[in-house]
Amino acid sequence: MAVLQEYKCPCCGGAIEFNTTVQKMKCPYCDTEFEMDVLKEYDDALKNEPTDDMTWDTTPGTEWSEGEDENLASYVCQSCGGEIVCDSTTAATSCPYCDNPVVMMGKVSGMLKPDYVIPFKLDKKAAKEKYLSHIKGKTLLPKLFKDQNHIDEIKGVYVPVWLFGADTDSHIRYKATRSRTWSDSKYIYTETSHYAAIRGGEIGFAQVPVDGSEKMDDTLMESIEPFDFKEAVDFQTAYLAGYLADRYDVDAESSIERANQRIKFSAEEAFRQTVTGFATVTTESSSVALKNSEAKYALYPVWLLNTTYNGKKYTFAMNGQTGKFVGDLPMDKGAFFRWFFGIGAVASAVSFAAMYIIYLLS
Amino acid sequence: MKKVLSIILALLMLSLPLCMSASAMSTTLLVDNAELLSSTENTEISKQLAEISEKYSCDVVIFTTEEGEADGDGDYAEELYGELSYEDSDNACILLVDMGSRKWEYYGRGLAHKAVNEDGFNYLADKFEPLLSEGEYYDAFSAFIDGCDELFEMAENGKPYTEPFSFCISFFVALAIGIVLAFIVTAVMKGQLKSVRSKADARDYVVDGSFKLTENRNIFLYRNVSRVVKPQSNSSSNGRSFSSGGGASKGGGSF
Repeated sequence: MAVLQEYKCPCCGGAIEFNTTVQKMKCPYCDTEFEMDVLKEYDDALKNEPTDDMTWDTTPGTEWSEGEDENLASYVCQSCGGEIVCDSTTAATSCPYCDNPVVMMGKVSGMLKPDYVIPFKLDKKAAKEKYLSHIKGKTLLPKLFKDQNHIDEIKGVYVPVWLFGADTDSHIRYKATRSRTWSDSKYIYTETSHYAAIRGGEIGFAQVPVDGSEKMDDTLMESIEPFDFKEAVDFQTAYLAGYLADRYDVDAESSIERANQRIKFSAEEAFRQTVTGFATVTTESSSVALKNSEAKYALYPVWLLNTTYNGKKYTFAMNGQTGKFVGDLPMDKGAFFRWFFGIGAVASAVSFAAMYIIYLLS
Repeated sequence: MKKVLSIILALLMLSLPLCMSASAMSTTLLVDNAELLSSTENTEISKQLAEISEKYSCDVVIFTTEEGEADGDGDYAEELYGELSYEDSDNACILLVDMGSRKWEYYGRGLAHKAVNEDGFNYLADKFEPLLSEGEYYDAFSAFIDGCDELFEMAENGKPYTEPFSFCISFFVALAIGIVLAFIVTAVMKGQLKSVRSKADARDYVVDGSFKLTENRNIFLYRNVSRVVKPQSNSSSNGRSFSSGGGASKGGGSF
């Protein structure tokens, strides 16, 4: 039985017909003409495109061995409900996320043991210095905010993260264009050649972190990346001494989507670098299949500072390993308008004077 | 004897103005092929043209036609300029009025080039173009001659016409520059306060040496050609065109 082959226009998606006048395939909707061989090759490429296969083997964390968690104490924040874990010798008094008092609940239970921990490399003194440097030189920062001293409230917290690693098989199709321009006495002509750039290959990712704490803002945690996993060690409760540890409340399964987004985006960008010699390149379709996937549970060191200004909460975080400090600051609206109108008035006056001088000189 | 000498003297005095205007009249300064002027008006305009040509030793010519070949860019006037014989071919100007295409063109060299820069061209056109549109041809040509007189005089005094400084327009342009600059600077200041941004990629976690390209092909699909009208580099305001170079000013417009 004969099968009716139908091709879709790569330009507009309409069904293409054979045009007897030009002896080519021609789209009746956008009038674009195609060679038969090109359409066949493009159609084959579309048919052979695989679909995403981004399933993970997620068995992160381990069970505590007998007596291992005896020296850990659990606290619960009465305000945000966050559960904090710390060494029994460390007295936790307030929640590192909302600054409200925490209540001791007793021993840790129902919590997986982390696979790895990156120990704090920078101390509180370094965090204070970074905070002072962070608020320095910010013209629109309210003076009152600068004057209030919050730096003693900085707390060292081990934030739970899920680490995803896998080799990937990627197959990506990009839409690429190349242009040339020429002109005659009346018109400027632009000829645009359209290509389907197909790339495939492998790329591996290791320890892509996803925040496992609901109370810790994901964007804040991503802002202090990267962490250097080479300095991670197998988890020992001894590393918690003097610090607080947040107990994960977002499980590994729920964190997969964010890891997949980041891995897929990076794969598309990496292969895009090989599409050269074109004026424009845009990703049209991509599929990523994971191999040798694994997920691990780790604690990453973060210095946290929470403060409230004019009724709004501001959180600052410093990577406890690299010292990268982030945190959005409040803006002095009065200063903003003063600067805006001041610069506007001076620039307008200078521009007006310059125009008048140019007129006189010409 | 005294009577004979006084007759000779009178004849000499009468012939003197004729000799003076001979250079200006070596070319017909008014050619009204489109018959836009009555005979009286024709005589008057011819007289004005002769006077200004003589005053500045620069032939000022007005040429009307119904051919419809002028397109307002000054090329046709330039062609006509070459065909007419001037006393001094490098110091004259022509105003061409084409009733067929409803276009006018100007071409000038020498003083008529120095005096009619872009500002002068627009000043001149503003004087006579509205009158041409209203069909007031005599008044239009008179206004053209008056305008040339003003511009030539300024050029001869070493100060060719320049458009007066527009305080109002300059004020608003300066204000716009100030606002844009203030917006950019304060946006940078606001940007300093923001440091929390999500990370869309995972490039920091790519395993060294893991990237392998196994498929690499580009399929040519199709090409298309688009065209846009070339912008005229010599365009001027009010739908007119003007260009200056090679010792000449030329341009034109519609009426």
